[in-house]
Amino acid sequence: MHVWLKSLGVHFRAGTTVTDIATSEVKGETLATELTLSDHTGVHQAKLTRDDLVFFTNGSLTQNSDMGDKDTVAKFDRQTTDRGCFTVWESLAACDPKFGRPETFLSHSEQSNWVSFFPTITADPTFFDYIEKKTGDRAGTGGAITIVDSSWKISFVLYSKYFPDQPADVNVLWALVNAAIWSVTSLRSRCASAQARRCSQNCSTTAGSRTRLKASSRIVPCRRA
Amino acid sequence: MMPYITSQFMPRKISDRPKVVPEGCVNLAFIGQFVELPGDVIFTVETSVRTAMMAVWGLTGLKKPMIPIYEPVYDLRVIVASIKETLGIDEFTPENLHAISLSSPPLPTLIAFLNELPKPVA
Repeated sequence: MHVWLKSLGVHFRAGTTVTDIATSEVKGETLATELTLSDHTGVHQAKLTRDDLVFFTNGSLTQNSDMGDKDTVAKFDRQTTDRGCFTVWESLAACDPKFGRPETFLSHSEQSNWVSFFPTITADPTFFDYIEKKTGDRAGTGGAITIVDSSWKISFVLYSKYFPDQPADVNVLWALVNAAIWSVTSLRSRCASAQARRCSQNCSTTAGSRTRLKASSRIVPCRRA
Repeated sequence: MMPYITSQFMPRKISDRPKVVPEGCVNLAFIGQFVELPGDVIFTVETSVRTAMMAVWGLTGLKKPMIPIYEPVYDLRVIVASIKETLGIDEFTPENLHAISLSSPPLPTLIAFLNELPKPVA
């Protein structure tokens, strides 16, 4: 599609951020009149006419995300001054109530956040076997499971083979913590702490979540029922 | 760490999200997951596509019929399949419908009707 549009004379401008959209009321019509653009050469203004159409994605679920790894805790970015397209939306909404109220969605990041991570368990099927037996769902077919009595409200989904070259003795799952809205199945169980420790040590997660997983998780069911 | 990953689910008023083409706008449209779209569901690719179609057609004056929003809530086959999935059952029985007290139609008739419903079209 990119090639086709270019052949029609469409000009794509990469490396450019729209930081503001100016509007004005003209004879009962609302016109977008100017874009403020920012790129490596600085800040520019682009005047708009009535025939220049602006399609504005006024929010991104992954705005201000931060990545962690096994040795680095992902940061929780709480600043509110630069939130990309959300900031542009806030600026527009301040001009006219018909552009909505972004604060409704943006003022609750303590509730609306997830730490999303992807544990890998190698050469130990205990956890997957247990959950499959407990839920009656084969890995990859069941819904998300929320551990309702975990302090992080941890939820996870077992995947079946996820990568084409995934070895048979490697299991992967997707997990998320904090936000308390995914509650499909609840499990309340305990298991031997040594087993739990071993299982969570096998989980490749961020350092912070690994520590907290060990400290706070009461599930990690590792013993066959 | 994603601070706003479920922000689109926060309780809202209708006026908290702009329409795809707000009143009076002639060259500005809103697309994505933070747009008021009656009857549709957010956190979906479908919403992104639909708002973009509505935006382009709205601002350019294209008079094409919009694809109707899928409304499974009005499809008895879907509702019955969902209840079965939720309860983990293959068939309705008087036991799993025990809370329903009907004089007409009699419960066995209702259960037979529900169990005979075809699977929803995917």
